[in-house]
Amino acid sequence: MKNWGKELVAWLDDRFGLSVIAQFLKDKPVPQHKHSVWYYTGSAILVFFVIQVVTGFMLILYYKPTLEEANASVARIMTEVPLGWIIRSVHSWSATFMIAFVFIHLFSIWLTKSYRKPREITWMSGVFLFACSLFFGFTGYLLPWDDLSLAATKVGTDIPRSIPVVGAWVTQLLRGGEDVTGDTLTRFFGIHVCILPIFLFLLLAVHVYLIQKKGMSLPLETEMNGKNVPTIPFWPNFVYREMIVWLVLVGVLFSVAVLLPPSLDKQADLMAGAPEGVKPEWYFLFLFQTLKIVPARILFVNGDTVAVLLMLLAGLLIFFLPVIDNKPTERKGKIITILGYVLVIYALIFSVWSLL
Amino acid sequence: MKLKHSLFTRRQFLNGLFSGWTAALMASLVYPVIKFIFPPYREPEEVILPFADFEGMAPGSVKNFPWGSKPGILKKNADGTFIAFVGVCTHLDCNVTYLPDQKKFFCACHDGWYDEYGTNIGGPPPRPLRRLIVEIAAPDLIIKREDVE
Amino acid sequence: MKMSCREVFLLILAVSICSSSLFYPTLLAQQSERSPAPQIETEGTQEVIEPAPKDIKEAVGIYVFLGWIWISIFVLVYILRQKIKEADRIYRLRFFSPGKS
Repeated sequence: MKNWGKELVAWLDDRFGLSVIAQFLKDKPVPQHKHSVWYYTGSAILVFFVIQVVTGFMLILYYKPTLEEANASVARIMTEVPLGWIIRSVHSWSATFMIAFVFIHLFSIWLTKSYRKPREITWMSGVFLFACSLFFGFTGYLLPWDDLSLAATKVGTDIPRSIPVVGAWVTQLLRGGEDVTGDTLTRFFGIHVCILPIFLFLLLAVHVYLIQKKGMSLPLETEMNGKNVPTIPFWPNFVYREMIVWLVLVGVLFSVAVLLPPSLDKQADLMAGAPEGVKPEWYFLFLFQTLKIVPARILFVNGDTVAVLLMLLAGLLIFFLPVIDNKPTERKGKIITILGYVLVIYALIFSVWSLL
Repeated sequence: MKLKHSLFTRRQFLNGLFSGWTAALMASLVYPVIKFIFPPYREPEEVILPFADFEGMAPGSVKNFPWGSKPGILKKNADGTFIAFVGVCTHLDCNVTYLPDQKKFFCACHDGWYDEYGTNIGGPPPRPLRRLIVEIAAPDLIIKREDVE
Repeated sequence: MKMSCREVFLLILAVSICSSSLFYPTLLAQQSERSPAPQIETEGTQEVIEPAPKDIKEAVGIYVFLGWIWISIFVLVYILRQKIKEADRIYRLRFFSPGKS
């Protein structure tokens, strides 16, 4: 009985030759030090993403991406389809958990300066993955097509308009026209279920490959100590530890999804006034608040234009961080570390402020 | 009765328990997924239609009515009585058509033939057309499933 | 793990019980509104759809399922901790044994 399993594996390995991967994973060392806990954030993101794909596959069986039917199809999922409300709730909460962990992962890489040579491209592919995750959230938010998500999408797709020269064009590209219409919904759906997944898989392949190629990084201070850092093998020692994290995270996700499921508002009315309390999803709140407090004009330039350009600049600087922080041990490096903390505090304060 | 040697080692026990429990967990997760993907098909128990729509039917003619998501066929016999079928071929689910000049139901998909009472008389259909009970309670026409009281 | 298993379990139980008060008003409201064959109006005349299990059987089933999930998590985490101890022990043996493989 036991043997047929080994025989099957041997048969497959003869043809695929994947036992090299198994050996690689057994030999891959994972350093153990006081910042090792951050190593768990990467696979946590993956777990939530897999849950998104699975629940997404299920929801797409019933969701109808047209203006007339979108809201009603979500209503049907929540009332008629057996356990539909749970699947939708898991999808909604897992999005939040995934993006939360993306932020945590980014923050931890920033502070441990794991982006430094030779891991620059790992960081850059990670920034693109971060942008993909946010775009997933933005496009998904519109799909129930209720008043709040319509208003949030109108505001969100209007922001690029402030960019000089290309702004209006970007807004039209996102909206499928001048205004947010049924075409926007269909476009967002296509982006959410087809275009973004393909980009994400490609980026993820690059990201994961580079991580294996370069090995697990050490935080700057640990590396500076010079002492030999103890390691454990990736398989099975580290993976067993990761499994514990996955189990607890999935347990928390299911519990929250079942006990705090999202409701569905009535179908959006394109002609009605904006509802009260328009706000984007939580991960955009700090940007939303920043735009709110920016004055209408700064010197002789439109205030929003300045703000959006600054945000784009920040994005660019974050993308090129490994190149900018080329001397991580010196004063510039220390300032960048402090800047990381400042950004987090800014994001937290502005997010909370937007809710008051 | 004490065994001389263990049946299995502690390692085997823990590994077996882990695999088994994980398998049970996966199976229990598959159940809601299956329930979601295969929603229950609810066929109506009865359909109530305004009789006025069907009163003026000529004898020997048919009229369609919705039976859930399937087509229902209401036929007025030569003697003025009504008979109703689920208008779906019993072979492979295509919709059947009534040919009044031949007084037969015909399924175009694989050349299936039924007589005017729905009995399968030619081609691949294995069973007669499913009958439905017709009741006239003015102003309504009530069409019921055969097994419903 | 920083919190003991028992503390984590009690915390989650407490949170679940407190949050379950969110369930029942919606469940009761839905039961009184529910018609035998619910029609979905595409005009959107319904205001807000609150998600809830459609009957008490489903509600109880969900709690049982959540309980099963958490029990499974505790069992599997316990076994994983044993496996980790064993894997670490084996690794250290290989590391310090004279003929390193």
